[in-house]
Amino acid sequence: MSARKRKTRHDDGETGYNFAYLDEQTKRMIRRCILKAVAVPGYQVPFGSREMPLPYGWGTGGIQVTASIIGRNDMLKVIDQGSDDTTNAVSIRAFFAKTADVATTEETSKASVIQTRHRIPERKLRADQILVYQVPIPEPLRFLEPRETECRKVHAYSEYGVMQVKLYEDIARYGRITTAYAYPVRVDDRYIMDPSPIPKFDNPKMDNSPALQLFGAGREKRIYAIPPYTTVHSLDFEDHPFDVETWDEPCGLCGATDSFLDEIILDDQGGRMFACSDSNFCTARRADGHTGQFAEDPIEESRKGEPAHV
Amino acid sequence: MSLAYQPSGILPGFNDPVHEAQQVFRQLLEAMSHPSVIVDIETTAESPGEMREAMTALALTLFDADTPVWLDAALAERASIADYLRFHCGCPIVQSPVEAAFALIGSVECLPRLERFSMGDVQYPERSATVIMETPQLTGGAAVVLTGPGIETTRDFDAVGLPDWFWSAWAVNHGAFPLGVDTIFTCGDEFCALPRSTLAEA
Repeated sequence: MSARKRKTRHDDGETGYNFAYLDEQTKRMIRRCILKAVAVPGYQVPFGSREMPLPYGWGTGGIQVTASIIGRNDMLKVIDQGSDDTTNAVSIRAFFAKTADVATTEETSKASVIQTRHRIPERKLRADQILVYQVPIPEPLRFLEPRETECRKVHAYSEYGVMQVKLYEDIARYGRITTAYAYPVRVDDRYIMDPSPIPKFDNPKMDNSPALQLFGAGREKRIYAIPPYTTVHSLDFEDHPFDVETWDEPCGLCGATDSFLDEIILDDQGGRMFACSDSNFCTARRADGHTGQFAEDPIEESRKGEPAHV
Repeated sequence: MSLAYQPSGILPGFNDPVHEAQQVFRQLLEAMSHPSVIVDIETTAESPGEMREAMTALALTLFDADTPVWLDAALAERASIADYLRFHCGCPIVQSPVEAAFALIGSVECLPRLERFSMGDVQYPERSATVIMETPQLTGGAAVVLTGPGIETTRDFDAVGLPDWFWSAWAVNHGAFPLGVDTIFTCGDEFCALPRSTLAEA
């Protein structure tokens, strides 16, 4: 989708809602929380999450953060699992195109605000970009300690032994840390933080990123942040250092060997391929002339010789 | 004839409250994310008394009925300033620094000791005060070297007119992390910020 400009109904004062949907009182409250979140990197600031016109679990936290920061001159990109084309991304992009009349883009390099569900774009972000994460469960200790009051004490006194024990138990049982997504990190050597369910492949991108990273959890009513150029350490042990997943095959469409790949089932005969999860990264590479093994239409290829589908 | 309520002597706030507040907030977010980087604002609001443009715009952007505000003597002696804030923001004006979510300091020489402001709670460090202070100049004074989140390597900060004790008090403030006050330094229509996470060394 390209940038677009049309006269909005807000400018005429005809709609029943404010610019970017939220009322100004709510935006001020969220803005103050964002500032405190930036001042205390990795700490989850409670906020008065509002009911949004879509269900919890669909990015209400990220939407409220985006609505509170976005302005008329922003260029918004929304991704879901890396892709610009999935339901959640399309809906949220349409939401802001309608309620704030902002320009939208699929190109990572052109966006000033990027709202994301479960991925960090492959292309390195810049200092003039803000990445907004949708977070389902902000508390990294939730499955180790269900009591909110206790979790709060663990963070307050930095008593994070229980998290190390959890990771150690993985090693004792399986020989490696089995957490593959929402892999806990320590921010600026203080707070342990849940980076939202991004694959651990993306964890190194958070470390010393030039872009500001904001996290919004709508149901759980928490906002937290990683300022630019902040140390983000993925928890590990000296003898079991943190590592990211790798693939035996390159992307089937663009041939990339350095991006996060999704496995795609092609047929019921065991046919499958791997493709970049970041759709914009993959498209841009193909436009530059890179091709993978399945660059021709993989579905058509796999269907050859089968009876026609009705 | 306009029937709008026009209290005598209260100057106008933003012409376009929604978009101006958004722009000022984004600049503040930029400043808070990059300690000591100076941003300069354009505002249509008219500033009352000793309050200057940036401080006024920040007040209009951040304050409302949920934020108790404390004014220093320089600002409190002009009733027009409290009236302006009450009218445009609806914020309570409190008498003691420790009650304040935001403090406005018209004259940085008279800044109260930082520990007189709320430092937050160890379980709720966001409940600390943000201190907004007007300085004679944001650059040109004795420099300190900053490191911490938001700073790639190091950055110099050399605002003019801070009290002698400020940097030793800042070391205590930073040392109390995650507790501590966050600060915004204004000068006319410019401002920069130092969050509590920033370490300053001579």
